[in-house]
Amino acid sequence: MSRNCANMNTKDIDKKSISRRKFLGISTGAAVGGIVGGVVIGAVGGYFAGQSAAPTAQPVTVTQTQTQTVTKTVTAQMTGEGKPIVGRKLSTAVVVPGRANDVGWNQQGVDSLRRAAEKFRADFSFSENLGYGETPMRAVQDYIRRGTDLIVAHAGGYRTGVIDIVKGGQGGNSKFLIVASEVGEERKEDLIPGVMATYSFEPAEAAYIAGYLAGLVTKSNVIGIVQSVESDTYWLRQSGGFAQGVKDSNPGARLLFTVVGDYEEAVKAKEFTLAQIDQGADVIFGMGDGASFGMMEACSERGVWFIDVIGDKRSIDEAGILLTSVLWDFTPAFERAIADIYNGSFGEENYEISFFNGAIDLLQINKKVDPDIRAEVDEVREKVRKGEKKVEKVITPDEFYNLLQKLGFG
Amino acid sequence: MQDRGGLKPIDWLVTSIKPALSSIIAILGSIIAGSIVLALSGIDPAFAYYTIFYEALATDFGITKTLVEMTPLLITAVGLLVCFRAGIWNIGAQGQMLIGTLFANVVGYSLGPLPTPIILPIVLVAGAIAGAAWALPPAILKAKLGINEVITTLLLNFVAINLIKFLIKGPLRNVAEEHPQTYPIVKSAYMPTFFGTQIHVGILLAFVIAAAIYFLMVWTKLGFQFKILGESIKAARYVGLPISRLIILAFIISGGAAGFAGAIQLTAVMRNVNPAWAPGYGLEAVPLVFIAKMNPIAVIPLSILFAVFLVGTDIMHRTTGVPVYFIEIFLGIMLLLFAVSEVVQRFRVRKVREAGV
Repeated sequence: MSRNCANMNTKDIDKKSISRRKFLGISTGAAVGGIVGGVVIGAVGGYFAGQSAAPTAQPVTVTQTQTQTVTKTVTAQMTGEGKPIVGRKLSTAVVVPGRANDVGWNQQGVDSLRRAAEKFRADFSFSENLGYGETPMRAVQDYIRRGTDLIVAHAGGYRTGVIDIVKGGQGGNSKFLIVASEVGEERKEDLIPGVMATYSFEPAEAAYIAGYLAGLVTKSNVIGIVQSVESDTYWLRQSGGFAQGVKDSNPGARLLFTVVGDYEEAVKAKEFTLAQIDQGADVIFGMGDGASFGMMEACSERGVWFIDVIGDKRSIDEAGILLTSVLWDFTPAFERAIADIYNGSFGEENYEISFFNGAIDLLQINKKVDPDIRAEVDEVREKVRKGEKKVEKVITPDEFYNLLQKLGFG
Repeated sequence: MQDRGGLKPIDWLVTSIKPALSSIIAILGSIIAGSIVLALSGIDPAFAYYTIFYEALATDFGITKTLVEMTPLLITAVGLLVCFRAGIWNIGAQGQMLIGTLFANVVGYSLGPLPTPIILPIVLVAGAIAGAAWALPPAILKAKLGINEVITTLLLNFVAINLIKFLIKGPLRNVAEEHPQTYPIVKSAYMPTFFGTQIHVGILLAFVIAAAIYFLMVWTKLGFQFKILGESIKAARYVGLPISRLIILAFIISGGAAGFAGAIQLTAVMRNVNPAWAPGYGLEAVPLVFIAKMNPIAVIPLSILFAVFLVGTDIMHRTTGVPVYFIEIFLGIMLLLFAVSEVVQRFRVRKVREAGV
């Protein structure tokens, strides 16, 4: 076998005989080149790794806490009872498909669990950029092996894998929190008492307030919605809420709606956003994941307002065009999950985050916006909170298009 | 050993360790470069490397995951090896794996609850057939029209990526799930595992396939024909080999292997397919084949080594908090240095007498 191999590779090589000095020279050169190259690549990589890792700079501790019995009084504030619970220290972990510093879904997931864990003095760990397929499930199994008490699988695409692990009896002593499945009116809870719970999101009200704000700040009376994926029910809920908000604050405004077709297509998203701006839009409501960066870039280039969703992109808003964001904070859901583990009632209910429990709300409105407008938005927020203004929910594309017709935007 | 060809002991030593030199330089280089990245990230390099090897090779979990991770890499690599040996540069293994996996998935949930010994082979073969079918267009274009397979296979990767996205978000979507994904395969199509561990039968199949490819390439007439074709297409034509048939066959074998590897991942690990699933095996396997000098047996330890790094660095990310970027940089540098260090192997040491001495 090696003979065959050697024959093939030494055929030309035999002709290239060189002196020892030359050989050593070349070897040293290759080694030095490799090391210098490595140093340069390593230094550059390390610099960027250090930079990008800045938001996650807090020390991450993963300790085997199964055997530690830490008696601490933990007040489960989320239960609303303030009832003291005595228990051991928990360990928590979250797995996310993208980067933990994406100022969006992944970062919100990681930061929310970190906050919830800090509150309960639980250990916290995370695993990022896992994509989909076998890698995230390997991370989940690794956490199970380490005896992690609560594992949050922070992606709709992780549901099947985690359910498979749990139902296959490989979940160990861990408890799992997965994103609730929701298609149309149907919600599959996937609750297994003591083992698995779900969490879900209701962003329509906060998006309504964002739409109300957009209607007030627009000067061209043209407002655009750019959605990465048409069928995403959470995007549709937000688009629906936003459209109603625009209608209520500025009945004469024109509303444009575009679908990019992919969550991560930033380049295409930028082109589509520019097309809306060319049609006169001066406020863009963008829902994308990775595609959001393209939408935001288009707004930065043309100097028009951008309203983001889920995350807080103020740190990358050099042009100062970020009007606000429909911010999703998962902390209340995660805190309730940890509290329920202490209570012994984990897995009995779905944890919803919404405007009403303060988890989904507008990010602080850009300071350039007139204080009167901000005050008016605050009034509307209060109306929605008190239930004086009901926001209609749409979940499917058909429902959304019907709503647009009804509002006169069709 | 006795005849050192007139070389001094130092020369002889250099000549003897030469085959290992490239690997040593590659590993040392990547370790040094990786140490710098680690140190800059504020992590003790020695502890990090200890974690990689300890976690991947000294824990039950690590060994299991290393073997699981090695499986698709090994199968894809030995499949590609046949093509590369025949001088055909199929770099479309990623697309062939995606299509194979998706088709295996459809078969795996459409057939209904058949017994495992029936449904599992059907699902695996379905993956192989679909992978091979995806390799056919570039094969025919190459064989009949001489169109460069690098371009066609590379571009078909993008077609495959977008095709599966379209299919999974459209006709093949599991309507019970919010996030686009396919229906899972039926339980009876799950790959059996050993003694309640996650070590599955597919791992054995990978070794069997590697051995079969070795047998094919070294002991059969067909393997020899592939080699002739790879060495010189003119010579192959001169001796009257069926060149078109050989090209198509090489593509079918490598495409089939990639599809089969995907089907194993599906039945053993994933159960369904997500549109964002981006298996790196198809591309990672390419350098492995070259580093292994196109030897199917040498691909085995290299696949294991690569899997050790994949699994070890992944666990290190969780245990030490090393940013995930480090892992990508580290694996990239390792492959780069493997390639660079190949230069060392090209030279042979001999004693040169100066003129007039």
